Amino acid sequence: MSEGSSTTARPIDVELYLAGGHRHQLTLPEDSPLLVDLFSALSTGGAQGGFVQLPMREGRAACSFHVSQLVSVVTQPPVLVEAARPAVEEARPAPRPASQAQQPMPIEISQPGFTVVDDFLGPEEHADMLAYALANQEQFEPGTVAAQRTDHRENLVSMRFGQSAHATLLCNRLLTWLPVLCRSLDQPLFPLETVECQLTAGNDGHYYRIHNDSGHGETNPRALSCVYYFFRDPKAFEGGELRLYDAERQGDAVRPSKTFRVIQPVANRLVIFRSDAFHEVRPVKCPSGDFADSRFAVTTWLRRRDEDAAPNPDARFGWGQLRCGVVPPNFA
Amino acid sequence: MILTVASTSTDAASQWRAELLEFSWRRVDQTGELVRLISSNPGAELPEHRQAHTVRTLPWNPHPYTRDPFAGYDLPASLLEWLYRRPVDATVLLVDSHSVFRAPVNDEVEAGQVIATPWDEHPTTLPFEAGDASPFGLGKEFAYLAQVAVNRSLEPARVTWPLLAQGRDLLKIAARWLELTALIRQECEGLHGRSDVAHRIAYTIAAAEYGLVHETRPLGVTTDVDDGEAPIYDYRTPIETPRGEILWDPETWEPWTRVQPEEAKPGPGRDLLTLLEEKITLDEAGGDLAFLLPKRCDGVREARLLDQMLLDIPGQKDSLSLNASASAIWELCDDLRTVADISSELEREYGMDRGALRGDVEQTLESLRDAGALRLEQVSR
Repeated sequence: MSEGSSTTARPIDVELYLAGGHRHQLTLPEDSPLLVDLFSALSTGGAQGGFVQLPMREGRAACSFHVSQLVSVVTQPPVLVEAARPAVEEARPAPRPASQAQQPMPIEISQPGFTVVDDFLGPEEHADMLAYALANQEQFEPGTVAAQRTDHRENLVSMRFGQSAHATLLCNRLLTWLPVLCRSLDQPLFPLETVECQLTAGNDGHYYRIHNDSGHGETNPRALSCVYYFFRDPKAFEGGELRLYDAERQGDAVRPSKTFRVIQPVANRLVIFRSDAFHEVRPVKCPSGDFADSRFAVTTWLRRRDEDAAPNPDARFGWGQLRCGVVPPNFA
Repeated sequence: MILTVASTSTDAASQWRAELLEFSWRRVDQTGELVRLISSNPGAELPEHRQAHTVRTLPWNPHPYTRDPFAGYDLPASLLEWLYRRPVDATVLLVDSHSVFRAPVNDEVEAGQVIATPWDEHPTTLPFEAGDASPFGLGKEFAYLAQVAVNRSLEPARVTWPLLAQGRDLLKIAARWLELTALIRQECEGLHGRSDVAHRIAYTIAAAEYGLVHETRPLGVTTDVDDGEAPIYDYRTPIETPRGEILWDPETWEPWTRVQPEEAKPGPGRDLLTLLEEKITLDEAGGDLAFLLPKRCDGVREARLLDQMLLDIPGQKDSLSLNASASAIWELCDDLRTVADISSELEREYGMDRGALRGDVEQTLESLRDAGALRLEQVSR
């Protein structure tokens, strides 16, 4: 392989930026395997290991570096590569033909804000949640996902949980915590439209691939997602961790990054994060396969009242006394 | 490690109460930290204390989602916010803002254990008709709680604060405590006119639900009760003379006006006024400055050049030149005089009003400290 040896493919001026501020320039033919290697290294963040060798000084020298050191690649004219990505199709920009000469937009990476509350409910309230789930096993049905592939999610869902006293108990406690949690998330309080609630059971092999909870029409008003975990003691499953992915923003397009935070499902734990954060539930391993041994979780979505709609001071939440349809003046 | 914690707001009454609590805390050499939780709007200026840590928390009076005006929301709400932001693995001594120390409290507690003041007026002590019993052994006006509690047969301990509990235990119960306070205020009608203690009732239910085990001990008493053991006084009750006339009323007292302890009935009331008088006297002598002792740093040499004093400070390239006023202050820094002593002495020498030089003296001493010439050490009285 030599620098600029192709006569059929376009020559591409490449600038490589490495960790520590190092920069290298070279020219490669558009179909050079080295170019593919460089983009692969960027895409995986060096997770696959190995190193890259760049020919320099017309092949009389070479620069070698570990792929994890590669920070960015600037190509002129632009070379757009569609990397293999998790299925979040709607969040991706449409690929442009390589012939359209345009500078690539910079990619900004942001971490999802989240916060965790352990011992969220009282011990007997927590135990009662499990008793409810076990007593209502017949309510659980396979979960579905709108506008996603059929293999995007596999778990069991009780859609009737939202009407239960247990849901109200959880909701009231959550709203009591809300001002503190919003402060912790650096998220201003917002007028609530509704609170949605769903109880899920994750058993052997169950999972939920990378997704976010808002951004699909009807789910747009979801502002915060809250997951409350409960299960048998001793725990009879492994896995089922929540992964919260960093977001890569490029222009108007947002997609999950390869980097993420892991939150373990701990009994009586609540985790709260913005509904637009990309997240995933890792596969559950539950050797017994018994429903009672499942990883149970109540997911609650707090829906923001439409900004164009007037706040609703008459809306009641929790046990019917909380007027969360407006933002309290002191907390505004 | 014991953290003494009081929840307050920012009004003038809260300020003098917090200063008095701080004064008594220091006076009895209470170990640990003193934390003043201040419910106030973001942006509002926080008062400063020399000893107490101040922590701003969101104001819950009135309740943000029910509009119910009740100061009792602020205690569980501020504990919830503070302990969530700063988890405390230590014993918390929770006191009312209307409290003062008369003796230190040194007992620490384990997780799940609480030492709390007995509350003889807990609603479970009230008689009710057969068949009127409600959850938690309460009367029929609390029947509503059956809808919001999983285990209604728990028996709340008849206790209140001052109390000692682990910080993590208080965090566990704080949200439920806050929630129950609002529910009791909203839904439990009547309460025999006791809705002002909804937060105290709510604490006992929340603590029972979370399995906290209480040992009762009279940590605090009101000033109209003569209990020689309680280390903390609650002074919400007016103090009377031996003839039954009101001598001092915390609701109408103009802060820091003189009081007459000798006219009070002997006992806790007189003790409280004595403490108050002691603080007033100390404030007139320089207040907190009386607890700051300037100590010259080792190796500092002084020299006179005409009417100027020069300080040669180790590690400093140039000598520090003091003007006449600063020289006079420096010369009084003998490791024995406090900042207040120096200020008083100079005021006397120059025939100035008491307190006239305090600001200048403190500023000069702080400059000398910043230059490395002296240290300002805390002394306890």
